[in-house]
Amino acid sequence: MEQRIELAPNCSLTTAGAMIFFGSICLFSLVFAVFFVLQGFWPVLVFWALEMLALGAALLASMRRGKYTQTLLITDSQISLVTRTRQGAQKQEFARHWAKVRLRSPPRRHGTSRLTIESHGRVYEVGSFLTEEDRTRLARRLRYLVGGMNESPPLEIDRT
Amino acid sequence: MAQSHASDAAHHDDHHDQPATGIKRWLFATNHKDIGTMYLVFSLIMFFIGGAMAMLIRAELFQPGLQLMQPEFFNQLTTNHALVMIFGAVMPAFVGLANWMVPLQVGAPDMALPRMNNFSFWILPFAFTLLLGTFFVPGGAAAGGWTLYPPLSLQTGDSFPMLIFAIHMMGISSIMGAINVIVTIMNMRAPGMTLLKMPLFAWSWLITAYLLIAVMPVLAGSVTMLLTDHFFKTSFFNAAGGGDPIMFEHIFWFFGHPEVYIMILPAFGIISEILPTFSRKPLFGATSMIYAIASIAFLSFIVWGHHMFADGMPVAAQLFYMMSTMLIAVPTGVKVFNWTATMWRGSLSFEPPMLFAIAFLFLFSIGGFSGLMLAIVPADFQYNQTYFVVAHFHYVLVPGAIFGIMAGVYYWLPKWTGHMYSMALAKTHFWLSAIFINVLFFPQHFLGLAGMPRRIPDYAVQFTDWNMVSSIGGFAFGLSQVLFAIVIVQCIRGGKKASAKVWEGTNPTGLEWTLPSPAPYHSFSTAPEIH
Repeated sequence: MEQRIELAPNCSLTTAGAMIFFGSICLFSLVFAVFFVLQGFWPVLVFWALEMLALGAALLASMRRGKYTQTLLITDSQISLVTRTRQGAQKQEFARHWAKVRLRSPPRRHGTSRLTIESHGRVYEVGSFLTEEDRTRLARRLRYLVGGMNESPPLEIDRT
Repeated sequence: MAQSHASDAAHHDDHHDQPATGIKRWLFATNHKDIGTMYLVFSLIMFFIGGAMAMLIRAELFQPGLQLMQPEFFNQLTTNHALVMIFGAVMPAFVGLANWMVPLQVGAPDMALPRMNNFSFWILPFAFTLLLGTFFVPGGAAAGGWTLYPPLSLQTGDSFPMLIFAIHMMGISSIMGAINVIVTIMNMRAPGMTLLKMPLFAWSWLITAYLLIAVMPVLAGSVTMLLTDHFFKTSFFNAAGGGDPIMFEHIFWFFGHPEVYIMILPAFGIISEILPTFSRKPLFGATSMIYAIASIAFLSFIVWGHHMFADGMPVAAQLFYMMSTMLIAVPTGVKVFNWTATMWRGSLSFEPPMLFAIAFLFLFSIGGFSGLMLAIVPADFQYNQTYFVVAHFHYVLVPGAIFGIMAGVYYWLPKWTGHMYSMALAKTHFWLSAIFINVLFFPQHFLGLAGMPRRIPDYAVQFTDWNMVSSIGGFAFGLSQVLFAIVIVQCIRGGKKASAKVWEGTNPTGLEWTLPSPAPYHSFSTAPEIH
């Protein structure tokens, strides 16, 4: 018996699609900027470059979120957390019996909460990209599946 | 915030994290609804400030002679009325509507870059404090018209750098808003929400964002060159140093004409949402509407010369700009006919959003027709710098952009607040607005055709009667907008509970109508299914 939870941000744009989109918008606006540079009005090009930099950074930030996924596999004895980023995958394993799920309140009023799995002094964050609502719901579910420290509730019944 | 979904069974509960309270909720807001609300409130305040300037202008023009102010101050008012209305009222209102509605319509939990969203809003109050502050510095505010043509604009007093900095800040805010919309639509659409399935409002904003991104560097570059000409002795537009002041007009209108469409395309999207709902029919030719918006956007880049016929240009250029300008009538005609066909044999009802949408259709068309007249080169030589031009662009921007915004607010307000507003008050607001906008602007066609120049505080006595009529219309139109504010405040404070669908007996399309009213603080915690 095992429970598997996949966490992934929704991205409607593929990497190739993002590159095509960004390239086309750069080219489209560059045509106008170059036209004015040829007339001697070079400051337009500076602002074009700044704007494209901002657009590129925004797109990159949005796309990077899509690369960050987490898989939680909870078995009778173990919890494994696989975190995939652009750099590759990292796997963490915890003994289910000794692990504990904690939802830490935001450090300040307008911050975000942090959901962690902790055991033997190791602390790993789960679902940092989720909305507050999703994170709270995930915390509830994990607490049910993992139980408290020194607990191993049965996995087959899910009453959450 | 990234939209997320868990592959295990989703267990819905009623928990929603609540927004912080007090001023910090607004200062540090990253939620698209909070930021959308702030944009809309800011825009309403600027609408009244710009409107107050218009009232002063119309009071001075009520009769010939100088009554209330010196000509310099009159020119400061006309210049800043335009800047406030364009950059402070209309554009932020559309960005506010986009903030509220685009994530709801595409099924995203929020805008793609919430912190940037906060920053792009909070730039605006500083920008407009700076702009309005120019009235209080030696030499007064800018008085050379919102187009800032040199060398006249370079004669502005100490306020000149404040003006340029304020315009830069408005531009930065607009660009950040556009980037956020474009990234949200491209990367955060719910699974199954293909581009062609997107509602027309989201589509119109996507195209508007493209326009903004393409033209804003041109505006930023042009005003920066004005600044360097003024303070650093460059000669981009200084004929004595080898520059060309006419080239500023080319650069400015290369930005300025698409800017007109930036202010009208989102209104097209709003109208395309409202007419089908209250006609109880699907939008006629929905795909052709998207292509028409895209065509208008494309054409907006190649027509700027029509603002400068009277400057002098080769006949071939005059013909090109005349023809290309007239060509815009084709996609615009497609839209007007599609909207009409949507209503044709529909089961119409006339709630406030529908009333504003129908008024938009009639009155915007009048602005479109006078635009066609202005596109004709020899006719433009006559109309140029007269009140006919003032009448034309006000018919485009007030019943076009502003009625579009009001239609949108009346359409979605119950979704935002969870309450229905007073239909009687809203309809009164509509009828007063629709009647007095014509009393205000239609006589200006006659004044222009009779030769009354624009941007003057005094005029020949033969123009008196129509100016009086226009001013009366202006005061009545201005006062009737107080009703708009009352309706909104009342609706926020309470009222009959609105259902999720809001408009009972209709079948509004779009994901926003699947959410309860008011829309929860976080909209889509799991990705909605699109069929």
